[in-house]
Amino acid sequence: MTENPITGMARRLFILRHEKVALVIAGVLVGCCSGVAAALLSSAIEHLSELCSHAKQYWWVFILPGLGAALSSLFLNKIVREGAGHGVPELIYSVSRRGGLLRFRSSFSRLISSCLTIGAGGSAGPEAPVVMSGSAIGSNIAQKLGFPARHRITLVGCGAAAAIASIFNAPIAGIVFTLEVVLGEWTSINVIPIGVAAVAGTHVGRLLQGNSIRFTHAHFNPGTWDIAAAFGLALATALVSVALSRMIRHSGKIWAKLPSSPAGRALLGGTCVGLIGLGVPQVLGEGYGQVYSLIHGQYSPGLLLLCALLALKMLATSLTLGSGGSGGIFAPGLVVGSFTGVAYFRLLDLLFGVNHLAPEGCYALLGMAGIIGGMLQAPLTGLFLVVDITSGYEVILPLIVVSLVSSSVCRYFESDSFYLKDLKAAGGLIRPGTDERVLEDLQVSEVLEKDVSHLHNHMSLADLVAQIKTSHRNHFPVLEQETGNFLGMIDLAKVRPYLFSRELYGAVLVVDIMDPYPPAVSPEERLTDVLELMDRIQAFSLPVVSGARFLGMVSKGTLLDHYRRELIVQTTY
Amino acid sequence: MLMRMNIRQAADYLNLPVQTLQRWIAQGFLPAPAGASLAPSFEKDWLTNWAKSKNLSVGAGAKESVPKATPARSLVQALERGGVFTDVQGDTVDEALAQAAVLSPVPRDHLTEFTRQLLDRERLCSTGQGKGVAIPHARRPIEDTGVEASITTCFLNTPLDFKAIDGKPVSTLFLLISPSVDVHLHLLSRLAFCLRDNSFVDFLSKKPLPVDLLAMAGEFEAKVAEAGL
Repeated sequence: MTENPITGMARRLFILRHEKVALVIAGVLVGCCSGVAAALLSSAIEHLSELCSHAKQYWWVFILPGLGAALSSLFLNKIVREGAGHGVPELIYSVSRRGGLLRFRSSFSRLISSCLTIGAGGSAGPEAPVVMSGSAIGSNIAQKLGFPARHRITLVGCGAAAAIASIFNAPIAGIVFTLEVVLGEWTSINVIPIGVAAVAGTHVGRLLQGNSIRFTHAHFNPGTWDIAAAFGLALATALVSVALSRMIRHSGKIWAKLPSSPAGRALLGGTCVGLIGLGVPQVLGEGYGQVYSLIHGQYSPGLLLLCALLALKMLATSLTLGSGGSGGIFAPGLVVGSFTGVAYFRLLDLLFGVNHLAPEGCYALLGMAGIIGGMLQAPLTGLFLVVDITSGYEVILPLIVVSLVSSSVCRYFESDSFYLKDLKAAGGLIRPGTDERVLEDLQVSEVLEKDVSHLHNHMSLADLVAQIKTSHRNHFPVLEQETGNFLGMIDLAKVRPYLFSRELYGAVLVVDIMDPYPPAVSPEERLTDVLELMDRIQAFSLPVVSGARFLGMVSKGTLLDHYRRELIVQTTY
Repeated sequence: MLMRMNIRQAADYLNLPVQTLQRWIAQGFLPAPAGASLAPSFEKDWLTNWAKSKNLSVGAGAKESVPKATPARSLVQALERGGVFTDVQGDTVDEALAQAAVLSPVPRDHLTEFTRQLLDRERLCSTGQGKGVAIPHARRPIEDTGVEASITTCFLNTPLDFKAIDGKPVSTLFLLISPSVDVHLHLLSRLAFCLRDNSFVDFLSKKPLPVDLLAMAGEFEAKVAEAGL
């Protein structure tokens, strides 16, 4: 194997055992690339929307979202051959099960597809696709530099953090989202490179797009009543979050049943969104304009109309994402959240009057934190995202209440977050430092006990007794003398009474008393399954058999030794 | 000089399968030079420190790391070390046992304690084996005194009632001292093998000379080896 110069450089850094330094340097690189990708997507969507807005005067404008979604679906399915959707579950799967390996094409595929979907008017967000791109950039840079899996995962996290940081101009939200949602692990070895990458990503974003807080707003000064009201809002956002999550999921299932090609489905779904958009153009696109006016209290429609808008936005989002459009739920979540917050405020106004409360723009902020915290079941992400994108630190107290309570209430209805539900059901989610992680990494061959004395099929009970004298084990495999094939097992516990009957010594052969069909495991078996089998049949050790060959034993005692070592090695830094 | 290890040596050093180390390197838990998965090598000191930080034990396997001085397992050697004494005085069992303990190679400063243990054991249950022979011993093996396994043979001046199984008075004592349980069982089983044979018992009743006793024991031990016990 010849090394390329880049690998050589990384190698030199490693030889100095400065892996943490190498990781931070690579993190900066990933952060910059990811920041550029985010800025590119942002401006591409902007340009495409502008282009599409020229078509407003024509009657066929409603077909544009469908066309965009169909093109994006064609691009994903036929050209780059990647799955639809926003990609975050795929990303978490890769982090969980594939050591953070992502394909190079993932670093641009979803940028293009989501640009087509959202730019043409689909109701979705550009954040999740850009997270996927950033992560893929991180993964590929890590692969080029020859980083091992754990550091590759950290660099994937760097890409994700920088993407969120750059597109929202929100470094803290990027870090928190990555640690809370993508990696599920807060350690010193992760936080530093990810933090540095978020800084790099944000700065690159600012250089390219200017340093502006996305939703600047007037000064809010929430008081005691607002904190109290936040509990009610948290319940409302939790219910809306659960509804939106379920709508998107069910919509996906319904669309999947439609006898049509993916592109056809996306065309139809997008056209439906376009039709809604004919009457209510507010539901189209990422919808940040709505959020802006809601925060500034410039939104004139009344309570009923607000509720109708909320429902239509949710419908448009589930149509876009369910039918195969490409985009994320961050932006729709923020829009839905601000609608919910303002609707809640107006409801309070109607019922009690609102002399003691902060202005309705403040409730738009709280609603956004509630929806993000609820759908992602990631309270800190919701909290810091809103603080970052609105520089709304003065509303931090009700924000904390809303995002924590909303997230807990959602957990009551939905066992897992929007991103993780399907993944967990398919067994694709394994968080670091957990029982599953350790058992997944350890292999049967690593815990195999080979110092097992075996018996031959011609041996008698006397030979078994002689073996017992020299062996420290309770299980003896019986092999065929000629071929070495595994025939069965003798468990001392089962034959103990006969061991003292001398008259049987010559008369009984080991093949007479062995268990010919003992429970056994193969060397490829997952240790989770092995332990489950042991628990089920109350066994302390099991033979490992490959085909007809006996390889050794696997026992709970040895397993515990290795398990503990593995856990320590994986969780100490 | 820095000692370098290849992955196989490192795995042996850490008592882990090579496969585990390779996986740790690929996963990044064990820092190894990047791209060196072909043949990573580790400095011994560095690896020791790393293992210490992860609470892993290092060094040769547990079996080898506790090097026990292989004690004499042969009956003849034990008999030789213990010595053979005739006309051992004592009018009671206790006196005879105390006298035997004095004759045994137990260090002087342990003698009182050893004698007490010997008497305690005798009170618990007679060590008389029948056929005029008793095998007194202490309940706990003598550890940390550097004493090697030994059997002190004492032919008593006056046969004593040990309350043996067959009620016969005892005239021969084999005072058994062993550093560990397995050596104790080993020597006891060999001795029992000899005593099962009546010719050996008859031979003992003639109070043979040390040389003859050792020769006889040697013959029997050879038979044991032949029988594969």
